[in-house]
Amino acid sequence: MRLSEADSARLAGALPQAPTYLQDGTTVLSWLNTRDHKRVGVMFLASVIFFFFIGGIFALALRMKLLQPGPYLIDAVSYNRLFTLHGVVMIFLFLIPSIPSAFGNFVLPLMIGARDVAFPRLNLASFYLYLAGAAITIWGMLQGGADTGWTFYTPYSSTTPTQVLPILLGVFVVGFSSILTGLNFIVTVHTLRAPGMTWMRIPLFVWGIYATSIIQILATPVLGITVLIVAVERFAGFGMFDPARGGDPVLFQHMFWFYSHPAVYIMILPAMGVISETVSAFSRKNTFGYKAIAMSSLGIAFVGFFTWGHHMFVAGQSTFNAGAFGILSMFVGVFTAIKVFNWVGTMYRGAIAFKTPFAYICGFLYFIVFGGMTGVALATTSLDIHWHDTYFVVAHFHFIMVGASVMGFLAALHYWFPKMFGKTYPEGWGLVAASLIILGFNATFIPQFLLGNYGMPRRYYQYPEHFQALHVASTAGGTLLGFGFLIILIYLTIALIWGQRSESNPWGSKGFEWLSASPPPTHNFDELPTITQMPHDYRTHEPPGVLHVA
Amino acid sequence: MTAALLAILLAQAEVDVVEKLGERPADAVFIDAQANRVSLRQLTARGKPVLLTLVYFDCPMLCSLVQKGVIKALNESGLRLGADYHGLTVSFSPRDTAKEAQLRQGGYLQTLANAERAAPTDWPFLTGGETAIRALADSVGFHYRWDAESQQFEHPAVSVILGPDGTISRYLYGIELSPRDLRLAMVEASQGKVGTALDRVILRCFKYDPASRKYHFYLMGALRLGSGAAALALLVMLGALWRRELRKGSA
Repeated sequence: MRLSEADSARLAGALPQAPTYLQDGTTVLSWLNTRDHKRVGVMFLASVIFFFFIGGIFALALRMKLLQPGPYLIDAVSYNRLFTLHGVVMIFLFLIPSIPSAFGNFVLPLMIGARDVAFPRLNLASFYLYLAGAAITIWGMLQGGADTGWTFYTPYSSTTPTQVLPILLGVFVVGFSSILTGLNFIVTVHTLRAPGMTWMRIPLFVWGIYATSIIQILATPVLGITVLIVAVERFAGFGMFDPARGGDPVLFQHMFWFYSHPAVYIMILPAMGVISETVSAFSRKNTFGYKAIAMSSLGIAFVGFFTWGHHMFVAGQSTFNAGAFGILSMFVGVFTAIKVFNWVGTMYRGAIAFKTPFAYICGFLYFIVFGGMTGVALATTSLDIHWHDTYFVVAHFHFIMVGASVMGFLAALHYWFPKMFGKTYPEGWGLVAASLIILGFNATFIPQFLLGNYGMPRRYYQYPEHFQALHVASTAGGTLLGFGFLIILIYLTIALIWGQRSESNPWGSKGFEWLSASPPPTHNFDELPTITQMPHDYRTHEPPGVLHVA
Repeated sequence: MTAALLAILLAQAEVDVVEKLGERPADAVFIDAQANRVSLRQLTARGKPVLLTLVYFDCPMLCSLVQKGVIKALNESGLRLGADYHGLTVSFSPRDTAKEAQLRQGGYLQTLANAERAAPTDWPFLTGGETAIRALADSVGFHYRWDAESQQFEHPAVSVILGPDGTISRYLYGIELSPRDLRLAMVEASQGKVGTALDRVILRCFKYDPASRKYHFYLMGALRLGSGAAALALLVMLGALWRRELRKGSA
């Protein structure tokens, strides 16, 4: 791998650093009007973290209510609105844009040795579409919010008197942001890779984002048209999904899950990409099974399109369809297992540095295996009939979508924090927060697996008194989880403002994104680097902190 | 009173259409407008869709409306007699004669557009005896009755679309046929052999609804088309990007 002389000299400290992207214009307008992928990434990051905390507050409020059966703290209608808003905010405003739009925007061009994404203006437009969609959604919430659940199942969503319309519209607009980001990344990966970066030298995070982008482009339009039809049904009285008007509610479920199941892979594939990067960096070992990990990302993206029917085992599906969807869903488990074995293979006999991101890698592996196994169990039709619409399902998808995805997000946040801001976070507090979160997460959702197995239905305001102990345990876990996130927010804010300046590559990582300075200058490189080897090639021994520049 | 109501209901029930989709009309012998004996099988299985109407020639009201409605819809549909489809009009009154049939055939076919190259044999007008008529009417589910009081037949207003092999494909009801429905029914009956590629695309977005007895917008078909087009667009884009890289040798 070769950098230009000027870039190498700057990294070695021989030449003064070019102004970083943070110093290049400090007015608010210079941020709002930027074309720089890094600034767009940072703005996305700030927004998704904001919505994560909003969604988290909703979740804590729900857990507080569930401390007692029956009326407590909030009334039943508010409870219904809260779980709807929790789902909508967490899925559409946090999880889906979290890793691709925030970290993808920041590190993807750096990783492939590009100066920016292929369409920088479109990139900024994508951010504003996200903001517009989020604003419409918040407006809907302030008007009273919806009580349909984030799945907007018809015919209830066509008839409920709550404010479904603005929320649907918000989701619709945010979808465009997702499509445009995906399109931008695909073209960027194809057209802007540095000389020498063949497809088998592309960092695995980029492979993950590439597979995610395909899903975003193919599946999101289906969600768009679905929510639009529900909106038109409410607004103009069309009978598409409402049986009272000659519509078909099961059609809604087909269309909704055709997007929303692959959407889980929009959330998890980038997180898997983060794990592939960090597991090598913190084991100081070449990626084990690079091709298998890259291809299994594409495999998940492909198979993910043929599994939606496992949400509809009890919606009158034929036995054949249910069986086929069940088996296809299990293929996702096969691809995931390929990845898990390769990650563990990468760790094996590595020189592991147990830093905060590594703690999240361990958390991720645990959550993806546990969550994935319960997923395979749920894909078994006979078991699903018992667990359908119970807390078991809630616990399962939180293990995957929150457990695994958020672990990936937090690993990325800590791993790339010095890259993005050139500051060091306190490692001790990082590990404390990671322990609290992993512990709190288990304490929140293991009781929910049990509750579901005992028959507690999801989304219920009322429950039998003998379930109370498990609900209290779950709420206690949720509180622990909340504290963990709060600690991260506090120490990262402090680190951002008063934190020590970090080295250019504090982890000694051989990921390509560390080829540029940290924080990178506006155009990333003076001259594009030439890639001559795989990412994360640790065969040559250099002390951490030294860049592998030939 | 109840008995009278029941009688009326029974009488009403007699005049109806019982759809026999997928079945063939009975192979009876009729007389054409040139007074030749013809077999129904030869006139229904003609390799193209056949538009069959059952009327009677001295009908004071409904039949001529049905026939005119069919011709109006055909003219607006752009379908060509002989090239795209064949017609067949059969009188269900045993009192009608070949001479009357010839008169009607001349009259109606004169008003038919897009029929410059068509011959009278492309749309025969038939008359027949009671047995043949009953056999045909029963086989297509066309239930009518003679009302002695008004000295008229009571009968439904329906056009039957037969497939190229003579099986019943679709019933279109009423005297005002929608040209779009008629065209879609012909394209559907011919399994895509009649009409343009666009017709086949449109047929994917419309489906016959037995409840309203009309063709309606079919959401799932439109979605399949739309999502297919989106997937194709993505494939074309990826194909172009890959081709570019493979040519440059940078993949």
